[in-house]
Amino acid sequence: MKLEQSNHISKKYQQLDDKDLVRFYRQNGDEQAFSELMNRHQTKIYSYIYSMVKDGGKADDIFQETFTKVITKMDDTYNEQGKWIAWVMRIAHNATIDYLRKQKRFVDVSSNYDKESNTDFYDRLPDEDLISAQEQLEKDEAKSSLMRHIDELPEEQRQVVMLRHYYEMPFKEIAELTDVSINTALGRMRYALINLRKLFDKEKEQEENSYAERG
Amino acid sequence: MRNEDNNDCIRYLMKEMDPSEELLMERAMMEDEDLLIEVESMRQTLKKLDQLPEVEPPSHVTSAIKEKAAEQAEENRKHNQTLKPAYKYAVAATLALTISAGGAWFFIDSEKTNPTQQQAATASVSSPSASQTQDVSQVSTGNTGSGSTQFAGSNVPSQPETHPEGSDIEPWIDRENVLRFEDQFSNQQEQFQTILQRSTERLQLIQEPTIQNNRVKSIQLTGSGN
Repeated sequence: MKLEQSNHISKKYQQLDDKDLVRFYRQNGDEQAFSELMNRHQTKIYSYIYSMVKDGGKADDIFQETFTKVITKMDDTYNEQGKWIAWVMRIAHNATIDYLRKQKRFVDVSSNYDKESNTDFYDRLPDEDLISAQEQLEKDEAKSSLMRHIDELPEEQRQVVMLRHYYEMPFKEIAELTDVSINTALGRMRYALINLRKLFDKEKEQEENSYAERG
Repeated sequence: MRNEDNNDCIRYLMKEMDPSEELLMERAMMEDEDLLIEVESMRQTLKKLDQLPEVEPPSHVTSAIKEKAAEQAEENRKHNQTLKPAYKYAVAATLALTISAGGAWFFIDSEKTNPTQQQAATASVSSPSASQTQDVSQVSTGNTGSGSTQFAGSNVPSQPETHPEGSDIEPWIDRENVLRFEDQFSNQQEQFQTILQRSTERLQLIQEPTIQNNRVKSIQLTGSGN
């Protein structure tokens, strides 16, 4: 899908950096420039939102809300000196946090099950026909295990992990985005890794115990 | 170990250290086995995060956003088109205002700098003959000897009524003569009145104080000089 969309956009746009594309869209209303911007960043933005809310329908809403704000507010609030994607991520992050705060009591954080579409997180992933069924199964299990453990992390730690993973965002920017000091952001990442390690160790131990019981 | 030191592991793994800091960290890991184990353990966990999936947004959502972007772009274009003539008018009006204000300022300024010249010119043109000046100076010199009637204007610079060609035209200035007459001629009312009258005769009200034409002023000044 992304490839198909990209084909419609001339190579000229693909060679431009974000700053120029933003300028083209703002000054000339260049739709192709905006499409190129979206193609570049939509997956990471959506992945971040989806990994935080774990609900396809809600992720769609937040993603759409984010870009509606981007389109309508770009002329007023975006300062061209800053990175466009950092600005968009701030909007996406705020919309996600707003949703999580509102829904905090109702969200089942340990479930990956998408109630609206009756699908699991991994049902939305693209098909990888070339990978054998066994490999796919193992890979999915590993991913599933990882996602399950990430879901068990406190929200603040999960945010830092996701922002770092999907955006390779420097900790300075993560700290600004989440309104904490850089040391707090680094500390959250460190505790997230320590907690994940404990969860993986615990899982391994349980698997070994179940093998021993079967044996 | 301080919290900042603990965070150094993360900074090292995430490549957020300066080369010099990296070097120090590597040296510390060589010396401290626990630190090395902690860093390696974190590296293993971090590696697992590479398996985090990327999820594509549904196509209907991206299409809707792109449509919205196109609509907004169209609106912006229309908005810009309707604004453009207005901008042109605004620029023209601003220019016109600036020129008018500049012109007004120039004339006001020149009016402020020249009133003494204008007054002097008017006074000179309409002043009585040089004999009057001579009379005044005669009075002053004639009375020099008498203490109480001494003409206080002895410190007054001479005010030549006629100017040699090429010399600058000096404005006629009273320089407190009239005020000081009152004290010093109090006993000689008649003489005082004569001097006062002669002095004040030389002053003439400006008929048209609002004249702002430099050319007119120049004519008056030239006329007074000749």
